[in-house]
Amino acid sequence: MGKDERLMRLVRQGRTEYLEEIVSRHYDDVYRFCRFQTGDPQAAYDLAQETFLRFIQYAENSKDSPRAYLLTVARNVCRDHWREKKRRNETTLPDPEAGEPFGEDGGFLAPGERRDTAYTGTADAFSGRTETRLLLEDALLLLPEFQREALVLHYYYGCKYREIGKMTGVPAATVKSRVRQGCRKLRELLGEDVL
Amino acid sequence: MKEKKLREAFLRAGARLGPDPAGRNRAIAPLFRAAREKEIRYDPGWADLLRAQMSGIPAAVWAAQFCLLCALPLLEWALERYTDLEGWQVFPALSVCMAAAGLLTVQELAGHFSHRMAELEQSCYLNLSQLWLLRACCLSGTDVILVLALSGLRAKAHGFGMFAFAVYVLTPFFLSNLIFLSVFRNGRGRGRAWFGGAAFTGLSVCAQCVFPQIYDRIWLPVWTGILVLAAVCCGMQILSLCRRMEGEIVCWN
Amino acid sequence: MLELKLDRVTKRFGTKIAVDAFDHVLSEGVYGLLGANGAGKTTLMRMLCSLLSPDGGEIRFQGERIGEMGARYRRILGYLPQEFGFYPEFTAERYLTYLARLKAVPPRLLPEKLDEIWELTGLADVRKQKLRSFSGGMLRRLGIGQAVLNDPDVLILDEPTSGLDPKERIRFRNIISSLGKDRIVLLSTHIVQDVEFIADEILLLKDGRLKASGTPAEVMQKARGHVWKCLVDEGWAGRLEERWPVSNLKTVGDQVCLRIVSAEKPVPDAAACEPNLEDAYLFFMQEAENGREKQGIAQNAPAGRRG
Repeated sequence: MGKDERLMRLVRQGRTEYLEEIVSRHYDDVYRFCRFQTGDPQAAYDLAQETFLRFIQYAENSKDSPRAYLLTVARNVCRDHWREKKRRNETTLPDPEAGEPFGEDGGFLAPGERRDTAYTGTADAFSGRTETRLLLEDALLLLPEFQREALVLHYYYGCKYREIGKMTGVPAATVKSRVRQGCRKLRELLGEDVL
Repeated sequence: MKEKKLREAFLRAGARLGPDPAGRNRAIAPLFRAAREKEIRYDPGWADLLRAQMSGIPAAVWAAQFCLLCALPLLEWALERYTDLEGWQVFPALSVCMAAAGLLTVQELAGHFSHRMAELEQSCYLNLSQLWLLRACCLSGTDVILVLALSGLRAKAHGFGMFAFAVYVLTPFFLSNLIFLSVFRNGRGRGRAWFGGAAFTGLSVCAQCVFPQIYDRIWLPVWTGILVLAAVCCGMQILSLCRRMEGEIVCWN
Repeated sequence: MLELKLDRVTKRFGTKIAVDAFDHVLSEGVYGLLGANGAGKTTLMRMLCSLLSPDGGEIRFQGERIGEMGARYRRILGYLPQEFGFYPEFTAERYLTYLARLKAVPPRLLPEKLDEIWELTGLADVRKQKLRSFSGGMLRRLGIGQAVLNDPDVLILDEPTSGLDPKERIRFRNIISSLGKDRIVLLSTHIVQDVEFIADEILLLKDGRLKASGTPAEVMQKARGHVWKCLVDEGWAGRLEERWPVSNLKTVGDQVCLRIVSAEKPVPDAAACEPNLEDAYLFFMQEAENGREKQGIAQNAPAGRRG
């Protein structure tokens, strides 16, 4: 039994002080996931907070390892965040200029996909940065949400396709094809030499 | 190779995206507070669940079950002591007892489907199918254990092995359960299921009286086969009823 | 903050669509699910209780799919089915104790919990009586008692007031509104008055679709300008009733005072009046019907004649 599982068992027995240790151990992981998903530090803090509050509320019920459980919740929290944001954009921002990510090289996206991508602002989010090359995390934001989450869970968190499938509610084969497609797009964006 | 490169690129990106220490501390403080205020909900263990199940079965059912099973050794002892019956001749009487005990068991299980309690019970923490399995195990478990104890004690007296004795007594028990469950599962209601079980018991007792040869040693493998088959079918019937509960509960309301 | 999210939830029985792409987010408060019999209320509620699984879409509690949560979800769920079952030979106390065990209520908390429930339901005097001797109203109160035994975060009550006399109904409403403070309460009914004063939000369901939602005031507001009052003689009243939905009818001398829900003025001397929730309900139900009729006409019309 791993340390996490031991801690969870203690928590289930009523030793709530160990929840703090679990929060400390996993905060960075959850924060990073939200950051990958949103690209926005402030939103990532908020979403990580929301994730942990839910985790604490239902801690005694989690069967999985806390990490898998936390990532599942974080994934859902981020997805809701995007849906909400999309809805707001649809109602308040019918501005045709606003949604063109990287006008000059944005042609790689199919028309239907743009609305799913996280990055709906203009290039000025990157303007403060000195280097001109696109970073991996920025490129990820140009992918549809479902590809981004699959890539991040697989490559950063080292989750297996089956595990990701369980977290996201799709078959492992679908996860695999999402990862493949995501990789292809990343290579197009960043160049073969980088990846 | 490519995979490794990708993973490294992600790890590098992850390192860039970590929270800053001040922000992390700020964010974690309310989480610690929530953790300290957390109250853990109770998670019942198996012992609690078993106790709950036992209490859900009406006392009358336990009493009837107990009486029938007490009657079994008494009857056996009395027949042996006060009559000239041969060993095999006590079996029809024991069969009736066991079949009745079996019917009582499944009848109690079927009770879940009446009174429209199923929908409510299905929505509880311990849902209906788990409940059912637990009950089935509790009730038939006690029956089987008692019969095995009896056969251990009395088999010698009749000149049968313990195994043969247990097989002869358990077979009617499982068969009557099976008949009841089959009729019930096909949606014929408890009354007909009862009738089916009872009718079967009567017929089999007649058969036993008319053809005492069936207790000959050569038939023992057949008895064993029937017993195993009946037990397996009973299990399957119960599981299939459980599955039906998991699925479309609406059909039976 | 609790959140129960229905995301395009759909349920079919054969070819009939019982619930059709139902989208809504529920948080703490009392929700009144209004709809005619057969509108899909019970199916929706059964899905919310994880008794049925949706054919399309998903239901998530705090971000997790309830089907996957299984027992973890049922532990925070309280449910009063429309057909409320009970073992007639049980006493009220034994019944609640039995269900408390199924609901994993900690045994040491049970006595205290039962006291709370006797107080809430007013059944303390009959706790030792067998349930077969209970009246319909007492059984319903016991039903709500069992639903809150485990202190649920999600409380689902399917037609809790059906078959109750007016006095019992009022009592019931008071109980429900006292429960909606820190949990999600969803109650279905086809009786508008049941939810008019206690629901924080009304959900109008018709043919499995969510037709309108909002606070009672908002829903009523939407029907403004569509409610008319007029005084006509009896012959006219019959004709008007055939043509438009009538939310109220009162005989005044040899004339009849009608309250009509209609987009246009039904008779020249009709006066517009403030809608109540019942009018709004009729308005939305009527609107749905009209919409369907129009759609039917458009589909039947030859393509060339359109526009």
